[in-house]
Amino acid sequence: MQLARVIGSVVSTRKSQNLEGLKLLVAVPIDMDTMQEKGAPFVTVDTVGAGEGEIVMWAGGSSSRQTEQTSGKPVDSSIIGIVDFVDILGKRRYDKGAGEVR
Amino acid sequence: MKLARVTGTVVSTVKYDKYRGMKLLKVRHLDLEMNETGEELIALDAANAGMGDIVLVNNDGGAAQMVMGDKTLIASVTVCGVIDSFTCQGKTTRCHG
Repeated sequence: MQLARVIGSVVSTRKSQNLEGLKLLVAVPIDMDTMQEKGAPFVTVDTVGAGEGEIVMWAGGSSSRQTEQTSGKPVDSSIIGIVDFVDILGKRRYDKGAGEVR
Repeated sequence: MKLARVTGTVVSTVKYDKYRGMKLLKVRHLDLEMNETGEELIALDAANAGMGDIVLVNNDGGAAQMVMGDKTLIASVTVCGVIDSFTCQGKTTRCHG
């Protein structure tokens, strides 16, 4: 699992039939050293009701198809949790309530 | 999945038997400003995409088997959706029309 920030959403009408009903979001990977966005954005499937601006946990590969919503669906990454806090070496690096990276 | 643009089609006569009847597309990843990035990839088409379309490209073998409906297919990259629009940080980008 890795961290990413949700930055947007995607609309697609013409798509593989078994992708219908899935919510597609755009996310950017988060570097845990700096808690800043790092790397190329990607499209992922939301299974937890995540929204823009939130830091989320995502899983890639076949693990992403282990959730109820994505089981048997052709997805390669899923958002599987919304992050409340990130503590590294006893230091709070991210607090969703405060909305700030420390 | 990633955003990509269909940049061409690929024609192959002698190929893996299961690819018969499948459309092969040349795709290139895009950043959110719609600039092409990275290498070109060859993808199996599952969304009836065409030249110039902005598409969702899936890079997973297991997903490719599901999207093409064949559990023993050997494939990795598939085009699984044509993107109408996407919204990032309040800015909506329309991809066609």
